[in-house]
Amino acid sequence: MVVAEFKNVNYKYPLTDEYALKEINFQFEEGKFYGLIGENGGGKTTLCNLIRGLIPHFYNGELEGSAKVFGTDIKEHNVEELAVKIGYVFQNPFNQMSGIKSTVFEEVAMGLENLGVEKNEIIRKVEDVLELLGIEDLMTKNPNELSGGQRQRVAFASIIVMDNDMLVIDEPTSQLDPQGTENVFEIIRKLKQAGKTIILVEHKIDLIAEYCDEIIVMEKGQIVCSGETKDILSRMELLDYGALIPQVAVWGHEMGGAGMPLPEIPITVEQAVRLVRERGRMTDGN
Amino acid sequence: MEKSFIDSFREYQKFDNWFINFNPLSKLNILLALGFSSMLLNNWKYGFSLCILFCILAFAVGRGKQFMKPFSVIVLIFGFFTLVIRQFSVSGTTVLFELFGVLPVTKEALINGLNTASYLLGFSGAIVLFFVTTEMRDLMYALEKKGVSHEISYIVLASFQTIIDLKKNTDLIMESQKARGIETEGNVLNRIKAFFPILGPLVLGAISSTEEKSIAMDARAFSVKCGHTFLRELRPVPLPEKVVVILTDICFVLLVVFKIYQVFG
Repeated sequence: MVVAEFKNVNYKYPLTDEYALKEINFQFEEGKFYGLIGENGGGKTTLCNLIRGLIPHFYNGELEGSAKVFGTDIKEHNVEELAVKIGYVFQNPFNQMSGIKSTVFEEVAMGLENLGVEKNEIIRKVEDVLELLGIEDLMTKNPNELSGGQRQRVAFASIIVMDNDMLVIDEPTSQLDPQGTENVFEIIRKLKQAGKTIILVEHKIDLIAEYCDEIIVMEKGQIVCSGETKDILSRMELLDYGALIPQVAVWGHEMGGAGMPLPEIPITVEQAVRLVRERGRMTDGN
Repeated sequence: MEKSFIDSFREYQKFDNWFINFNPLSKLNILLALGFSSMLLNNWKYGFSLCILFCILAFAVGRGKQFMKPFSVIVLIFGFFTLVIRQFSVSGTTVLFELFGVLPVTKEALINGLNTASYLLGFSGAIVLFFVTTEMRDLMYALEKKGVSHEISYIVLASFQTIIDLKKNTDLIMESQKARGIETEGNVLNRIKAFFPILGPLVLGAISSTEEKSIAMDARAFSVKCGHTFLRELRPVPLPEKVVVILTDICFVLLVVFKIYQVFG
């Protein structure tokens, strides 16, 4: 099922002449995990804002073309309700805390309180989510006194607890250390297992290669290429678009250049290891 | 520990003593009635007895220190100031003694000053006592239950955190501006000059973070129009508490009537 569909979408922010999105044609399908990559200022966050209905409801500006989310034109959506259907986690973990709750447990429960969920149900759901994300030890802590990585996980918990159909996650790991990043991707993996549609903006290409089903590459407000992760991330031309490709893919191409082409271009370390092993077996056999 | 923490939400919140356990609005009602009564009576004996009562109450419910800190400042500033000013503005005939041998301290001015000081202190004591024995979130919870919108409740509660955040940001910006060569220390002029390069980033930063925050709160269903539930609940007002509030209010109304009668009758 298609959850979001864009046809010939162009968008300009208010008071600007340049289009932030140009000729966007894309369909997001239910249950898939999309990786959105590309240069800074390429339109990734703007596309996220469009999917979430912040464009045109929050940011105004000029929107052309047809943009449908959950089968309804984005302009017709009730933006408050859309915000609940599509969970949103973004870069800055500090601005995602409500600032009015004194423990992580209450912070995570806030979304459910706002939805009028019955109290025992809230407690059950919050307990489950804290356990899922492995942050039970934080539950009695003050969310305003946590570190960036801890806050980001609390922000995730606060969104996940609402059980949205779809999640837009905008550079969630840019302020985190390797361990924090690993934790966040572990959370995203669990969400994918739960069958959520996920759109992730991220620069850490090795992690994108490992987790995503499909990749969308953006440059100067346009989608320059999109398709299955393996197909897209093995292309050298991504570097021309200001995006990165995994180190092992570069290595795969270099091997070809050195006269030792591999049967396929690997995009994850496991794939590279497998290819090397296979080659080793072949040379042993000879 | 975590289990008991979670279970604490399943029942009404418990507080360490009876006075704090009062519903915030009942408490506010009683204390305001007492505060205003000291204004209406304008009598130093009553006003100061009330202040002493507040002090005893604050210590009895374990908030003595928190109460005395702001209250003693108010006593010193308002109390002392009023007494001195009244010596100059009220002319009396009964001279008690002469300060420094030249300034006459009269009985009439002293009584007048004491009366004024006592009602100011009685009223501020009531307010201070209310805030040291009530958590803001409990007050907002009680108000939300009475129909105040959750937006207002959010604004009030979030502003406390915003003050803390802004303070942190100010320090951060001050450090970075210092690193850029702006003098932020030294004489008054330097400090005033440093004010502007700090204010700009602070205000702009606050505005842009407000935008992000409102998006984040919308993602938490903040603007969805439906009845809210509360994870943290206060007990419903018990009958004896209602009786106390109503009795206090009746006494207060009688006092008002008496006062009107006294003035116009």
